[in-house]
Amino acid sequence: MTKLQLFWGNYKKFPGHAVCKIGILFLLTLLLNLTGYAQQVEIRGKILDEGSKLSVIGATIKLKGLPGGAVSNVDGDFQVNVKALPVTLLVSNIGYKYQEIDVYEAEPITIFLAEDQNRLSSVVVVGYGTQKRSELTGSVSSLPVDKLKQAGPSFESALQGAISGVQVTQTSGAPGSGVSIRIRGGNSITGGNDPLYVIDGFPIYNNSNESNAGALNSQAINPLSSINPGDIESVDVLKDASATAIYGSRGANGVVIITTKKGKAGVNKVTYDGSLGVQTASKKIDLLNAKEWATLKNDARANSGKAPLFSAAQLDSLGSAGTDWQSAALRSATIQNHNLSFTGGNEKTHYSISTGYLKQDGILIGTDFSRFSSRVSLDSKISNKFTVGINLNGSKSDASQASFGNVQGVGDNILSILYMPPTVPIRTKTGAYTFASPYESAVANPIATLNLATNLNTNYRLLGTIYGEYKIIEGLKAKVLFGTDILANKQNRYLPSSLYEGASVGGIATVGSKFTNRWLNENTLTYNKTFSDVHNVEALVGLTQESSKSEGVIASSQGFINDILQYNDLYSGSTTNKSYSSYSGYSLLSYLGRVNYNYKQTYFLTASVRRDGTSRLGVNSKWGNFPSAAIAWKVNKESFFQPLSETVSNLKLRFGAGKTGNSEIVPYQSLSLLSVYSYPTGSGTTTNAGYAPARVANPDLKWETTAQYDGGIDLGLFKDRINLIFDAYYKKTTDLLLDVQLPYTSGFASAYENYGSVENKGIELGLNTENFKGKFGWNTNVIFSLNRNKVLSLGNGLQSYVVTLSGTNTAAIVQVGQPLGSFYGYKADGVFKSTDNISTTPRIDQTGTKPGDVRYKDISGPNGKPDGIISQAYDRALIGNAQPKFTFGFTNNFTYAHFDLSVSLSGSIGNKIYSNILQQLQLTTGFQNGIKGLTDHWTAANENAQYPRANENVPTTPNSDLYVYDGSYVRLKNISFGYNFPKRIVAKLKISNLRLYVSAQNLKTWTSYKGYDPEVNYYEGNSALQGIDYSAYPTAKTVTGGLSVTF
Amino acid sequence: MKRSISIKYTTLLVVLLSLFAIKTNAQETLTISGTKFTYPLIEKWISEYAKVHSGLKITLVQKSGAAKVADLNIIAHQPAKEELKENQEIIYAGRFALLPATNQHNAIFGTLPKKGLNKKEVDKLFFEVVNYDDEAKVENSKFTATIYSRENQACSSIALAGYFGHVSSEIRGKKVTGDDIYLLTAVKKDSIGLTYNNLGYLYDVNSRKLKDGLALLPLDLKRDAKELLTGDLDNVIATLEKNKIETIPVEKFGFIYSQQNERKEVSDFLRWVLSDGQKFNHEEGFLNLDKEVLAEQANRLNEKFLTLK
Repeated sequence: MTKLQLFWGNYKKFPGHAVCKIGILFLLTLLLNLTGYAQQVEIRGKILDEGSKLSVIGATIKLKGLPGGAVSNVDGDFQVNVKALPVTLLVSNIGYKYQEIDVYEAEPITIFLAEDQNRLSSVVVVGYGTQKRSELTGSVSSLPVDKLKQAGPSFESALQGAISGVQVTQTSGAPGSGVSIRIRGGNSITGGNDPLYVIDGFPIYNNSNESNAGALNSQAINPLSSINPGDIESVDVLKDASATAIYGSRGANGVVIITTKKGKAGVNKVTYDGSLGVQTASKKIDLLNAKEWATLKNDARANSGKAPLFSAAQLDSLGSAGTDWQSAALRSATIQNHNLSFTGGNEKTHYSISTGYLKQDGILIGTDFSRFSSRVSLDSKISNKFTVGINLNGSKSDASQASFGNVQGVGDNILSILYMPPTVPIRTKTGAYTFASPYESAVANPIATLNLATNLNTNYRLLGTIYGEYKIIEGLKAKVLFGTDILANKQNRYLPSSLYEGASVGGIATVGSKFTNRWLNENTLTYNKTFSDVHNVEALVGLTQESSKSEGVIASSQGFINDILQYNDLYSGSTTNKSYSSYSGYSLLSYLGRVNYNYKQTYFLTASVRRDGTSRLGVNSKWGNFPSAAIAWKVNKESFFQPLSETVSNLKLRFGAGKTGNSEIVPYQSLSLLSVYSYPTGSGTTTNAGYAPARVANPDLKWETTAQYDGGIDLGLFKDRINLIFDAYYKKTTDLLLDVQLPYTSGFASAYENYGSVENKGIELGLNTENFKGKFGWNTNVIFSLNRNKVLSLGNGLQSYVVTLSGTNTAAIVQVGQPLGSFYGYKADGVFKSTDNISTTPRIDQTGTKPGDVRYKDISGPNGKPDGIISQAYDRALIGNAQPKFTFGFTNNFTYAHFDLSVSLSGSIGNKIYSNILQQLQLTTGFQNGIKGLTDHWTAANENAQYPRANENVPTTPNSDLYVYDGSYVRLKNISFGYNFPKRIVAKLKISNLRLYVSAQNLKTWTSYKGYDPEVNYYEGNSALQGIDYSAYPTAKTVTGGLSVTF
Repeated sequence: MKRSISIKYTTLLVVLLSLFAIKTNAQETLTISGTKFTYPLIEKWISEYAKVHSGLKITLVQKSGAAKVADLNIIAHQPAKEELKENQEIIYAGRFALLPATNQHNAIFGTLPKKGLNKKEVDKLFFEVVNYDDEAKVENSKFTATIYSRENQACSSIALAGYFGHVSSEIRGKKVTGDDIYLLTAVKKDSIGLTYNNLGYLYDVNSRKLKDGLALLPLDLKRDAKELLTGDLDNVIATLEKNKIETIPVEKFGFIYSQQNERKEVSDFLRWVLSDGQKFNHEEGFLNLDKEVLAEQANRLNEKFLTLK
């Protein structure tokens, strides 16, 4: 202790000054020595972002070949000490290009880091994590970034023609409407076929019922349209079982993973994207003009023994004039889109905040869609081991919609536009709207309805996740995530009494709302380690649970004295209609695990398993296991392959197999149900409510199970100038969830059971070639998908069934040995000629058939042979199929200096359409308007006419091959032309990026189909009814101009 | 008491004299700072100018940050608008050329085409343009080399990239800080090293020969420019002053001065540089300005400093 005081204390206080002096001398000597050791070169510097000239925080500075280093501070400053110069600094930061800098002098240096926006390209987001693209064993495709920029209001349309194996069909051209997506074909007959979407880790089904309270006769808003495409960083599509099995019971239809934009350290960026465009109908259906229709009308009346309605003079005066209802209803409509985002952060906290506004007027008058969306993404490293983050996406979508679907009491606006005779004026001489067609078919004035009816559909959505991630030891991380998805739908409808649809009830108002709340909890552990430098292992285990409940209510009243309050005061209606409320809920509990292993980045193995338990299914079958495994071999890493390495830059062989599930049926189908029935008592004028069994329980009801096998080759040639990805797959879905008819003796009509199986097999090809590089660049992307679908069995010895809707036969059949989407009907055999002996020829109408009526083929009879009678039971046959022979996408991107041009074609070849619309427009009754050329109908003088005779009393218009059309098409889906201002020019304006562009969507479609659009999918969710065209909002071609600027 | 008063007055006198001396000294000093590779020529100018103007002390300020306070700042690239303040002007004083040089033992010589590299090939070798919208679209040169260049904001990097229609962040390879001379140090140490550098550093200004350990990268040149690759420094300068060669950037350098702080010493010095000083350009490996450009600089100088004549 004394010695210490000798050195550090006041030496005068201690005896022996001499000793003290020695001590001080020793101390000085020591200090001098230390100074000698400390004689190092100090390198000080500052790291700045090259574009914004702002400090880059958290950049790592290492010394090449030497220990030590530094991290840039909040001002971008750093300091390192070295023994001698020169040294090489290795400077890196996420999101920036790595730099190696030789330092020869000790003077302060300024390092400008350039952004590396391409960092995500080599990483693919897979279920519950990310993986390097080069290490994938499964079939995973990513949507090219430029395609996402071309997406319209919703991102899904960008998938069309961009990813092999993904068939995208637009269900309607209405603003805010959805698309139907099938990944490697449809597996299910009655269950859902849409893929699972995972948005920032939150799995959601795009269930349009959740955004449809049921108060409108309109199409539901596509729930995914609440996601602003401008907020999306990447879209990855998991296609085969080895990739999707980690999603178990929901993976059978494929998985689409959407990752929204995140902030980056050190770059504070403000980006504005804005565009303005004009949409016009891409096509009008060619219909009869006034004179042609009036002539048809007269002819039909004449054949029905009635006097002509129009005199010759009147016919002449009509000329080609008359009302063009399509032109009156369709318009040029504007679309505008604005997005503003702020991204950035420091070494610990990253943020991304954005807001967007979209306003799209529909090409049909009275329709529009608008969306206001905001998003916050925030993550922060609280300590070296603990990170927390939040993603919050809120949006409000409003749609003013047309009436859709030929529902009793409310006409379908599109059908009214087509059916309304051209001799009917839009307004009467008094200026009021014409009420309805004065002719036999009850067609409401569609212009009046579109202008006066109210069909408002509003969605509010809040999708949010919050997580914490803790690094337990090096390589081992625990993550806990909570999420919620709240979707509120509000619908308001009012049909004033001045409209045909509202007249009979004195005006009707309906309001409805639906509230869906889903919550999620995921708990995962991941372990990542490399052993002996060659064995790379990544393991994942997890427990997840989620629950959903949905509540809805609809109220309605009618008989309004005036139209002032509309739907805002149901009480003012003289009659209150029945109110409805509904509730539905389900929950899911899952255990999951996955191991990725590779040896020397050459041999890869992935194995995963998920165990799911759901409340949707029978008590005996709530739990299911979904395993998968895949292997891959990167042949080009082998030493024997090196002689070829100059030519073949990548060669990977993959094989995977797995089992996934589908439980997408309405909840409670496994339970026995009681339904309320009204029955009369006493005199019969009073009804009482009572309950009766409506469904028998099926405690064994379980998943639809899909077993899938996938083999693939990834090939890169000439330093990846040519990249080819080829996959072949086979999928078999068993235990289909079918609503099977029961014997009437059971007392029930049908019950859900697991019967039957469907297979899909096919090949996919993705080819990317870089034809030219340099100042002039040209690359080509070709996508080819071929899928063959077949029903293998329907259980209980059932060979086929005709699909019925509301008790009416459709033109669709589900038949063993045939693909889903098969059309079923009579086969036409021309028309009866005057010389034919009708009484001895098989015919549908035994009494009323006359020359000029359609003849149908007598295919079979009770004895298996033609029986001389045309009957439903024996004379209908397969008449076509909605499945395409193949689909393709063909994109060429050109760049020259700062200009870029992109041209995308997509197409579907070999698919057939059953057109209910054209079937109706070919009716020769004269009750409604018809298709152009219908005047070329059969008469005794014109026996070779295109259409049968005009006749008001057409007995039936049976489904037949007369209305099956080739639905093949090639579409110029997108052309975009842009100019990126050179950085050295925009830098003067303190702008880091500035791009101007014009683009056009759906500019041209080559097809022989006469309807609005060959992409038809009226019965969107029903695989058995695909390819049927029955009213669809016309698709628009859009020309847009826009700019993107980043500060 | 008297003694203490006299001490006080003496002290005051000393302080006043010191202040006067400092002020006088400041009026006779001119500071210059900026792009270092021009320093050999600037130093030559300073020493020659001192011979005829002994009353003025011109100092080259080496330390970073001095640029903000120096009377004249040297710039050797075309400045972006925001680089110049409102009251700042540039008077150009000469030109420099950047030649591609490599380690003399570089194996690349065996792989290059006989006629040398054309502009496209040089472009691909030195620059990397990433198409951010398309992954893996980085174009790689067929030749193997490590490119050395100064930091992205250094004059030689901006001049080089600008000449080829790029921005400096698109230059491949490693960065070297401090001075362009270190690029040659790096190349000499790295057998596959490749850099662009100015003539004053590439050539020994005394012997007029290329410095030991270095070799010029063979370029595809027209016949009348061919000797540029083999000739001495004077041949090279003569050829470059006569011809514009698409693979050899030639750029002006000059002095940025502030009109806010106009001084006669500055205008006198600049006037001398544009007249008598020009004869030293070649000696130090720099090119002269075109006659028209030179005349324009002199005119502008006279206009700007008219009041100080």
